[in-house]
Amino acid sequence: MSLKLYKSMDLTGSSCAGVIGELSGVYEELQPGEYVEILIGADSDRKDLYAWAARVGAKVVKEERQGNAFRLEVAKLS
Amino acid sequence: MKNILIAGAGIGGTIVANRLAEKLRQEVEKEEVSITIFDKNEKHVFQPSQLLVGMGLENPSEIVRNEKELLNPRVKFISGKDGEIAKIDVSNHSFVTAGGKNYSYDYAIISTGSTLDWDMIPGLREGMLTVWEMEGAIRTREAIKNFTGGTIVFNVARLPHKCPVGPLEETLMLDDYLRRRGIREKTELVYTYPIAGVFGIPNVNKAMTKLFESRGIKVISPFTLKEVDTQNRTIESNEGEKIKYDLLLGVPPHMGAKVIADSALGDRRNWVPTDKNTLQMKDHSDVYVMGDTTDIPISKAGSTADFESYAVADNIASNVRGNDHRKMYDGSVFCFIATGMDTATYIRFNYSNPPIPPPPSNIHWLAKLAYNRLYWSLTAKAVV
Repeated sequence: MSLKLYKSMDLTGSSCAGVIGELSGVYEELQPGEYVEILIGADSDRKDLYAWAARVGAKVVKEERQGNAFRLEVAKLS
Repeated sequence: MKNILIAGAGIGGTIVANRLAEKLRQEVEKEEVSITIFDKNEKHVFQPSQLLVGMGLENPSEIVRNEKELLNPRVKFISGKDGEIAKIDVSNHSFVTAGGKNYSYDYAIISTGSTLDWDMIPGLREGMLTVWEMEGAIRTREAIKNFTGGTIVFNVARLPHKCPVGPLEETLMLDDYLRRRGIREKTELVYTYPIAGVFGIPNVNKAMTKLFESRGIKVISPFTLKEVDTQNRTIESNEGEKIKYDLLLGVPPHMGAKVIADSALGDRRNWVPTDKNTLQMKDHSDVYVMGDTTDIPISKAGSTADFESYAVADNIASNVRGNDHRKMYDGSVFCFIATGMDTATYIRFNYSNPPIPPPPSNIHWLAKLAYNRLYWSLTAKAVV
C-alpha cells in the first residue's frame, strides 16, 4: 500500500498539548492510507508515542535518528 | 504606499497592529505605510477572563471594550460587513470582504483565531456548558450557583484547544468554590482528558496530578469524547468508558476560522501551515500568521500571540525599511494557572526550556488579576 503524506510536524519543542496531544489531534484528521511525519526530541516521548499508537491502532511505518531527534512516520492504515 | 492588512482584531491582531503603528510611526505619518485591521465585531473581548465570569468573579461588561479605543490612532479599523473577511486571496495578495470590497496588501497578518466545533460530537451542544464562549460562561455561573451536590464532570473533548491551562484552572477553582459553599463533600468532581494524565507537559502534569490527588479530584484519562447522552446524562469515550454526570462542563473541540477553509489556506481543521520560528505562512513570505490561527505545536493562548507579535512587527517593519534583519519567535508562552478562588501558579517556557511551575500562592493570584487589569492599558496597546 502506498501511503500519502498529510503533514509534517516538528514536535521537538515544549507544547501544552504535548507530543501525544498534538499528534492525536492530527491523527484524527487522517484518511486511511495517509501518514503524518513527526520529529520528536526525547526518548520518553518516543516510548509514549508507541504506547499511544498501540492503543488507537496507529502504525509507525518508519523511524530514524535525525541528529539528536527521532523522525517517525505515523500512518492510519484503515 | 505599502499596505499592511490584518485579519482579525482579537488579542493577537490588536497587539500587532499597535506594535506596528509605533514601530512605523514615521512611515505612517508620511503616508508611506498604511495599517488596516479588519473584524466584523466592534467589541473586543478579553477571552481569558471568561473563566472568571463563569466562576462569578467578574461581570461580562468588565471584560469587553470597544476595539477602537484600544487601537493606536494610526491604525485604520474596518468593522461590520467590510470588516468580515470572506476570502484571503494569497495569489492576488488581497482580502475580499463580505461587503464585496477588495483590499490589496504588501504584507498580510492572519489572526483569525479559533472557533468551537460543537457539531463534531453528538449531544455536545445540548449537554455541555463551557466558559470558552461568553454565553456559556454566563450559563456556567448560573449552573454552579444553583448546584447543590452530585457529580460534576469536566471534559476536554479534543486537543489542541485555546487556553490549554483553562481546564486545570476551572476544575481547581470549582473544587475551592464548592468547599467554600460547604457542598464539596456532597460532590464528586471528575476530570477527563484525551491523553494520559491531566496536561501535556510532563513537569506540569506531575505537579497538577499531585494537586488534583490532594484535592480529591478523580481523573479519568485518556478519555476521548465520543458522545454526550443528554437523556441519561452520560458521556462516553472512544476508549469505551461511560460516566454519569449531573453537570457537564468542559471544552468543545476547536478548529480554525471558516475564512481559512473558504480561502483554502489551512489543513483539515483550518489551522494555517506556519513556520514555527519566522511565523510566515509556508510558501507565502508576505503572509504572517499569529495566535490560535497557526498549525504550530505551541499553546493557543493570548500570551503566545503577544510574544509572537514582537517577531511579526519587527520583521515587517524591517522589511518595509529594506533591512534584512529577521527576528525569530522562540516559542515563548506565559500563563497563570488559577489553583483556587484566590491562589495561582504560573508557567513560563519556550521551545527549548520546559516550564517548572512554582508552588501555588495568593501572590501569583494577585499577579494574575493585575495582569488582566493591565491588559487594557498596557498589553493590548503594545506599551510593553
